[in-house]
Amino acid sequence: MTPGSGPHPRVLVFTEDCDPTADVVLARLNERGVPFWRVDPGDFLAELGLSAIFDGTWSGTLWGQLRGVDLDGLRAVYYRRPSGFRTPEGLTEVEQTFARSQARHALSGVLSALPRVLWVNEPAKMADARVKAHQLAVAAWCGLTTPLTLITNRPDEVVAFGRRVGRIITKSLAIVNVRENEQTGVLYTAEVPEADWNHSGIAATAHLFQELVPRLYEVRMTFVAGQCFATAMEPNDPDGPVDI
Amino acid sequence: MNQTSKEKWNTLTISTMCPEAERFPLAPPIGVSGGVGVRPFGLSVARWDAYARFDRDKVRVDPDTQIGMVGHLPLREVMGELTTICQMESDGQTVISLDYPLDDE
Repeated sequence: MTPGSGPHPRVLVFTEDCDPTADVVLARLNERGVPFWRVDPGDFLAELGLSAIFDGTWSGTLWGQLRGVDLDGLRAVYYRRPSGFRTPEGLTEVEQTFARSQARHALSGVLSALPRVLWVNEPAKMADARVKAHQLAVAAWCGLTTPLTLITNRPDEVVAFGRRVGRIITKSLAIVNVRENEQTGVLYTAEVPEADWNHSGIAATAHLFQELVPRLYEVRMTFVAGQCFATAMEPNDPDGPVDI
Repeated sequence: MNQTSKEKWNTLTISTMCPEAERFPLAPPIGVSGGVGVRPFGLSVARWDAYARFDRDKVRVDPDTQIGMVGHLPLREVMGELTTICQMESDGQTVISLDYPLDDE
């Protein structure tokens, strides 16, 4: 297949190769005959081309080795898990920073400025939604009950907080995948034993602490166009009630 | 910070869904005690997740279907065995359906 030889994609799917969640959606799009193009913006500098012209509105083309999209025909962007921009070899660090910045503002700038394009979801709103301090404020504003929460880099504040609420947990302030010594991991929510309330590592950066809320399971809710889809998550292991 | 700690931090990367933040090395911690870097508390209590039992580099996108594949198997089938086995409606018996109406727009 060459660019332009098949149906023109009306849906752009921004994600890396390893994304099983997107795969489920894309299988459905295939079944329904929706022309889409799965592309990783991380390939932009090496394998993708963009040419857009502004004359009152943006028009142009984004193309790759197998597919391309006419910006005028684009109707939706499914923004999943794009990887970072990879820069050509041989650039200095300063040049790489410049190249990534240019690429990001060109690609996301032109696409976000297109009219009649549905974003699922808008990157800026996703960025806001990831911030736990913001989540708590929004949840409280919506009338939900929220746990007592402390964000601090002072161990003595954690000690006082722990004495106030009894049992406390800590969770990372953002979704973090950590790679270290050939291992990949995520930072799970964990209960903080009293012996660690004064841990010196707390002073290394800001941390989030919350009162422990006993429960049997948690609920993940997805909101789509006025409808709520609730899923109960029931843990299989003893640590589950804390870390899910 | 001694050399060992420095090397350790150099191998630690942090990533989020934000392309700008990905592949940037995590800065060394500010707190220093006795010449040895203080590890952020959150990392020290991290429990390593086992979800990455497959090799991400082995995932390839099928050029026709654009679905992620590991060898001849769809990635979602490989992952399905590693994740939940309980994706049911609240009655506990009906498999959750993705057959929602399609909006042509």
